[in-house]
Amino acid sequence: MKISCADVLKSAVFNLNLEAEQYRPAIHELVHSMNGDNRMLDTEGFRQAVLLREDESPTALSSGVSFPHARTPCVSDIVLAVGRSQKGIASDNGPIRLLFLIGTPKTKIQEYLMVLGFLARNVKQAATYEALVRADTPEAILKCFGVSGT
Amino acid sequence: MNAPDVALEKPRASDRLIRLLKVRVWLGEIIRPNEVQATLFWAGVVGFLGAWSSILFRLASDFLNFVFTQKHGGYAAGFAALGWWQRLLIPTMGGLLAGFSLLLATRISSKSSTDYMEAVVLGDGSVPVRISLIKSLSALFSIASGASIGREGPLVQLSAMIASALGRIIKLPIPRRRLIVACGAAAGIASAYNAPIAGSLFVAEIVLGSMAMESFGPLVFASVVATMTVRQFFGPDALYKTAEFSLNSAWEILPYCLLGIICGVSGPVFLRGLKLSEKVFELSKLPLPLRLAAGGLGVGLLAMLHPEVCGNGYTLAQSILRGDWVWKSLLYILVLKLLATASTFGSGAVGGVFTPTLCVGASLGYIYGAGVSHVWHATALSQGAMALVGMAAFLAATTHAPIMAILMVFELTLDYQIILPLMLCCVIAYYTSLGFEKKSIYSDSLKRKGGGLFEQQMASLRVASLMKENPASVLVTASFEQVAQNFVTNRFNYLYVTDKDSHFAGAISLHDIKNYLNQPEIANIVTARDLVLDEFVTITPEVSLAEALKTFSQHEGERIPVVDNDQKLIGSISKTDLILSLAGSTAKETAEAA
Repeated sequence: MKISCADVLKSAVFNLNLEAEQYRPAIHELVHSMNGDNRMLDTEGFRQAVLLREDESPTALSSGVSFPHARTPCVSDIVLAVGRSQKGIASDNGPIRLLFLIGTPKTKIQEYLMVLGFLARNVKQAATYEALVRADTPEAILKCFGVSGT
Repeated sequence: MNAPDVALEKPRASDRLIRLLKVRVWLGEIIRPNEVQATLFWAGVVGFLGAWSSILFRLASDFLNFVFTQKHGGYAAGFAALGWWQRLLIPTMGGLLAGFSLLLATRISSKSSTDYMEAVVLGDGSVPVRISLIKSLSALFSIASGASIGREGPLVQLSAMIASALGRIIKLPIPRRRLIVACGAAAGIASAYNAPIAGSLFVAEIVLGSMAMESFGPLVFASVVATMTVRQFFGPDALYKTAEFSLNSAWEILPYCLLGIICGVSGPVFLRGLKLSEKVFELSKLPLPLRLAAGGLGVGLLAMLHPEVCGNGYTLAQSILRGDWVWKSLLYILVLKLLATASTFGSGAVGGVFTPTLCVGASLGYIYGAGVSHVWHATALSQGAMALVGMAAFLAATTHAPIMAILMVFELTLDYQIILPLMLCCVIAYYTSLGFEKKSIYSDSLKRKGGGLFEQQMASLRVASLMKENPASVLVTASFEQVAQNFVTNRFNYLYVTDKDSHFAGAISLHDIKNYLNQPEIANIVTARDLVLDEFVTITPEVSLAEALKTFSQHEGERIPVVDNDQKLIGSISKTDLILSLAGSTAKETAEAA
């Protein structure tokens, strides 16, 4: 079944008050918040896959956004977790305010690129970034991407 | 925290690269270039080079003939103007020189074959350059000194040799190198006879035994380029000029049927005569130079009686088609010509029997036509037309390639009116000859050279023999820009991915990423690992080609990665190479069965 970016965002997990101050613990915290998602087949496996991928090539951008992700059999469908830190998370590329954690099954390469491209394209715009940093509810986050309701 | 500065996020995949890749994807989808299309290009190059080798050889043989005879205007005419002792001495000396050249070639290597047919059907597409050139020099001495043998043989050989060298230089895999050598042979025939259709059909019908477009397309391309090149030099005229022909009554087709039977019977007799002559010379145990000199002496003795026996028979065939002969005189010349050809061919002289075959067929047809006119006074049948049809029918009977024979004679004369009796007679001659002789003039040669080699080669045909080493690949950590760059510089649809120790990790499909090429935002985030299809089919080098074909049937790509036992990427095998290789095996089976 073809999915849309709006569907992925609507089914996302939101953690708008990340407590971790370091990059890897922040990923761990965000992964933990996905525990209840029934598409998550193996949380620990997913966490390791994401960290391995980060070790290989970090996804934290100097613009304060990061896209940690993994293509792994630990998820049954595309899953997304949106994390935000009020203070900023320390990374090699400067402080990170927004984290978009993506998990994709091995087979869904095109869908993965579609979601990643959609998020990165929107977050690149200064106005959207500012709105995301200020948003205080998941609905407000969705609105920043032009998606309404949950 | 400031808002993200777009300018600070320098995309690694430059816009230019993305544009290039989009053009590449668009072109790829429109024309879908593959390895066969690349082969077509090289076939054109081979056609051009083959034509020039043909032009230079013809000029060289004409010049050397002038050196020998001090006469211009054709070999037979040149010999006619010489004294008896010169007619005797020149072919003998020419044979001696040709023999010494051949001896030199055997001293260099007595094992490697220069036969292009063997290289295409039984070998790996390699035609050795040095020995081929020395053998061509030997042919040059024989032909220029009036031996009754065709120059088309060395022309084709030289063209095939150039194609083989080119195939080695551009590192074509063996199946396509064999195809490119076949293209060289087709170019050689096309340029020798100004006949592009016959050139491609000769190789397809006789050498490859296949009309598959994978091979026939490049053959046609090479033949056309070769013919166009030669026509720029020698002009576009038909090689043989014929009298006007028309079929006045449907009954007139009957004598042609009988001519087909006569040619079908005499073709195998002619072949056996040539083989007998070979055996006689072999029994003489003469050293090579003396054997060829003896062959030349035979021609010289016959030339003392009649100089028309000298040369490949082209001038004689032309005069027959013009209707210049009284049948009794021609019968006498035919006998002498047969003896001269047997003497030259049997002695082991390097050259072709194609043109002498045309000459013998034309003589047979002409003499038969005279007989028909004598018996059937009411008919307006032309002896020239009979000669023309006889030429084709005799060719069909000796080569076992009736389609090629029909088109060859049609192209040689560019006379379409003759086509009905020509087709009928060739087919009858072909089927008649099959009743007497299962082997053609060419399959016999292949059979002799290929005995046992086929099984040996089939046993050794493994993926390793077709594998291209060092395929383009990227590391799992490669950036999206590097991935895109590889797709721009290579034409394939799957890019292989390895880890730092060269272990195969999978492949990236162009289809998966093509819609995201214009998104520089993701270039900073995506690596090869994010795109790789890790359950990608692989093959090992020791797998048989038959197994490889099965693997391809479950894989949509043009190539399959080859990995060693440690899963390290060592090469790739292409579907085109595999199909060409298996098609080549079919041709081998045909050669073996013949």
